[in-house]
Amino acid sequence: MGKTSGSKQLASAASDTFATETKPLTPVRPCQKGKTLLKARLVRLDKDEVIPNATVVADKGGASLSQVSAAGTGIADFGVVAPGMYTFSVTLSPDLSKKFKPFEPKNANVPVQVDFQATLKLEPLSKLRIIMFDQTGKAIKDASWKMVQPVAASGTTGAAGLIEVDVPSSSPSGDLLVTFPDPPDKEGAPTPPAAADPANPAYPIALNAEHFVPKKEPANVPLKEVTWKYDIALIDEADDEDGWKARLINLGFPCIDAARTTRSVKAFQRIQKKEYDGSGTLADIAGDLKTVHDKV
Amino acid sequence: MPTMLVIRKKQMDLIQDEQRLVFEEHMLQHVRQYFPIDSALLTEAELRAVIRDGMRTASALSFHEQGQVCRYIDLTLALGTDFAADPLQPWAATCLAQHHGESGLFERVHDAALTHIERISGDTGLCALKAMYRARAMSFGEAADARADHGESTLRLLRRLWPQKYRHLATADLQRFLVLAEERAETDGMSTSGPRQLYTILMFLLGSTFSRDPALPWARMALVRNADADPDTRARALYDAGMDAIDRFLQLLPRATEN
Repeated sequence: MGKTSGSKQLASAASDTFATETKPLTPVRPCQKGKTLLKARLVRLDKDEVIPNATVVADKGGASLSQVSAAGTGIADFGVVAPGMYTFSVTLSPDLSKKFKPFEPKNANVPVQVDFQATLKLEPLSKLRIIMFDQTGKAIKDASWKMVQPVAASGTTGAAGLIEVDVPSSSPSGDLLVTFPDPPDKEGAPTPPAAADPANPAYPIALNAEHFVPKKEPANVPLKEVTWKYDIALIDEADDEDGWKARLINLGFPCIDAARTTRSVKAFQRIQKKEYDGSGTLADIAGDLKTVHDKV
Repeated sequence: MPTMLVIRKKQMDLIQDEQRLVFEEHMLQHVRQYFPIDSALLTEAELRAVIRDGMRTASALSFHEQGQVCRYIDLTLALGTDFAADPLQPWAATCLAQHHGESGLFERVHDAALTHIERISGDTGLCALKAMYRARAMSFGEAADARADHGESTLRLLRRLWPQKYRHLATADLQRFLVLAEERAETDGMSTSGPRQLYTILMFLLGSTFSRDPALPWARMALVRNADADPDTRARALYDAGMDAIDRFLQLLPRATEN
């Protein structure tokens, strides 16, 4: 079967005259007026959604044409042009730069007397946002973090404990190294009572409540440095159980089975909504999940 | 003043349909000549389904020249339908993403595909053939082992079946593959550990979309006919159908070699 084809078999098939036919399977749309027309359509790489308001430059041998992609269609219409090889580049506005990677110029050969439309795809940036909390639910500030791949970035968390990096959607996984700040100084031991003057001992001895506080158990040694591997994927819409669960998991509440999901929902209700007798039903927190997760 | 020829959309559609039918006929001859075993294993209607599926996916990737569509269909026969989105073929997605919009994109994809096939199957396909023999030697109990962990032990099994293919996959690709295999096995009603392992093996050998690959109609039929059955029954049906397909393929092999 074809699944056991070797490279020779495929190379042989590629040498067939039919396999080298350059005629289009469906006809290229000829320009009705016998002119060569050029358009460039700007779309997102992952969804094919059109991108308006970006400047598209078509360069042919140093002569540049510039048009802005239209709202609704994403088309930059250059009108009548000379046929030949064009290099397309895209200038992103500050707003679009926050959403897409810089566009690497592409070439396309525009044949004579056709209504030619090039499709230029912009690769969106994904925003990786992680908020770190300690065991008590307090945001961890002053933790330094570093990412080497897929983009080089580093920073230190602020009061919100937020790590935020723009990563290309074509590299959905990577490593994040986090170095936690030193824990606060150990609570000072109770001040010992002043040494009594053996020549003049105080009587009755002064009582200090701190002297009766039991000694603290030594705390676990906190992690100083961790490397997290992450994977970015599109999250389901928050309109069904899959989307709600995905958000709950992202917020740190596991949903590995029905019982754990119920416990997680109750925990969410307790922590986020201060409902101490929560229903444990996912649908009851659907709106809150969207608010808490999607606006973080 | 000359009269302008007006071609209405309906007429244009008819012209395109006619062109597609002509292409399909040429492609049928091409497949029969260069893929004689697939042509013998599949009925004409099934071959036409393979060709139409390839035309559709090639068009979605903006490959419009007849020669490009022809070679794209050749690649789907070797690598599976929709191979460009298969985590087992990471080079394809990389190539498409890095060079999208460039002239010569198809040639790059085709060259990369042949290089990949040479690495994992060899120039004559011997490595892939050995993998099929190893798969044929597996009992149902081994292929659908209920103790399978869908982790290390499954990966060890895949490595044993087709080591050349396994070693060209990065750890991250293999992890993505396992996640996808779990999802697809569940979708096809084979989510328990044994059936899931069998499903994973078939994905590894035949492509991640094997259960809807028109070149492998036996897989879809086995699942459709047992749509209401439990996972173990579905696994058994898929195993039997797969073994039968390998047997028919192996029986045809000497004759094809002689030709």
